[in-house]
Amino acid sequence: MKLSDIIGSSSAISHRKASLAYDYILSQLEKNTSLQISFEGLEDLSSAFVNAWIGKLYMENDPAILDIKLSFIDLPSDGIWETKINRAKVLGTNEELRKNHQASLSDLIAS
Amino acid sequence: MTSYIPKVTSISTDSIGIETLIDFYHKANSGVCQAKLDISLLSEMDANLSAVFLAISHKLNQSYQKRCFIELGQGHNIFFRNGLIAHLQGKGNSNPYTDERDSTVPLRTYLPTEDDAFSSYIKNDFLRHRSVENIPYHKKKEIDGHYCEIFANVDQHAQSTNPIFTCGQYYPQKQLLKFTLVDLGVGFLNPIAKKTNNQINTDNTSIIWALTNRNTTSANGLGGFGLKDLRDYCYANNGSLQICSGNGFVTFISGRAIEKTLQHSFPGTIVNIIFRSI
Repeated sequence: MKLSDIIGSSSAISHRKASLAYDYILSQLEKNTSLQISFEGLEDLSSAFVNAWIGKLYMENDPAILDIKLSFIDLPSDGIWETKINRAKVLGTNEELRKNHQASLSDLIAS
Repeated sequence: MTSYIPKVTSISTDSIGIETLIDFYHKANSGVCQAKLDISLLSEMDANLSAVFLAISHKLNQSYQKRCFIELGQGHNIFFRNGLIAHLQGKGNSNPYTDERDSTVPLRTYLPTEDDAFSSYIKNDFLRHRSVENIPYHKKKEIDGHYCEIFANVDQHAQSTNPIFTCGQYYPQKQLLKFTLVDLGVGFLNPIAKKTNNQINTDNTSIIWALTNRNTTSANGLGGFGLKDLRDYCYANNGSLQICSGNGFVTFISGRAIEKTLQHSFPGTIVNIIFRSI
């Protein structure tokens, strides 16, 4: 499934669009479906979007299950988006890190 | 009508130029219901600063029901070409005038919800402008990404439903491109002072704090990755980044942060980037 199709745009910038991606993936996971999300055709990916999407998923769900069921393909070779994704996973799973930053994702991410 | 004649010969993209426009804002705010910035005798005003003027005009109108005008002089037709006059006439982003010289990146306003339109503007109006044709594609992609981060940060953290204002001017002879982005949000100081238990308590230190790498909080957007990355781009490419918020004005150039404290406060944040030798 292409992320651009899920959010209806080639620009993944705002947390509003991130909530579309979050809701979609959550609904698929509830059906016990494994998911491969493609970044093909996507032109922009902001940290705010990734945190509100992947960070929130990892904060509110079992990371081990997510690691098994959720995968990402067609990421650009420069590694920038992959770094954003990995940061979001760390923030989502590491409460201590969030505390150190004096903010929780729930404060920072509009749901 | 309150008429304001700046005590400078030109309004440039620097602390003096910004302070001049902020001074107009405060004088207009304390005056009668209509205010005019009279630049007719000035040699020039950088057209990218139209974004600042329009933001001021919006703020005065929205918060204080005041209307702003600008009086132009000879040689100031760039403000028709870049869309400022159309905006002041209420035409929004539709500019009936064409920029036959192709020396402006048009003045635009985007609501925080208009991320698709903003992204299109950065890609098509800014990064395809003739002024940046020598910047390699991969660097343009980086710049595009930085501005998307900034837009997302404004959307998420400025606590504002006001639009952002953005505009650029190209100086072919000087090989300069000046590009400005303005928001009317909460700025840097208050949220950062709260976050640091008032250890950071001035506008300038809050700007510098927000752009200090060790203060990266990933999900925290104040300043955020976009501005830090733009600053690093400037350091590496002979550019400069100016950030004005509240009374603070910091110029990041050649690996240094140069602070200036302004007399009056700006009700939001101004981000100017100057590309050189392009």
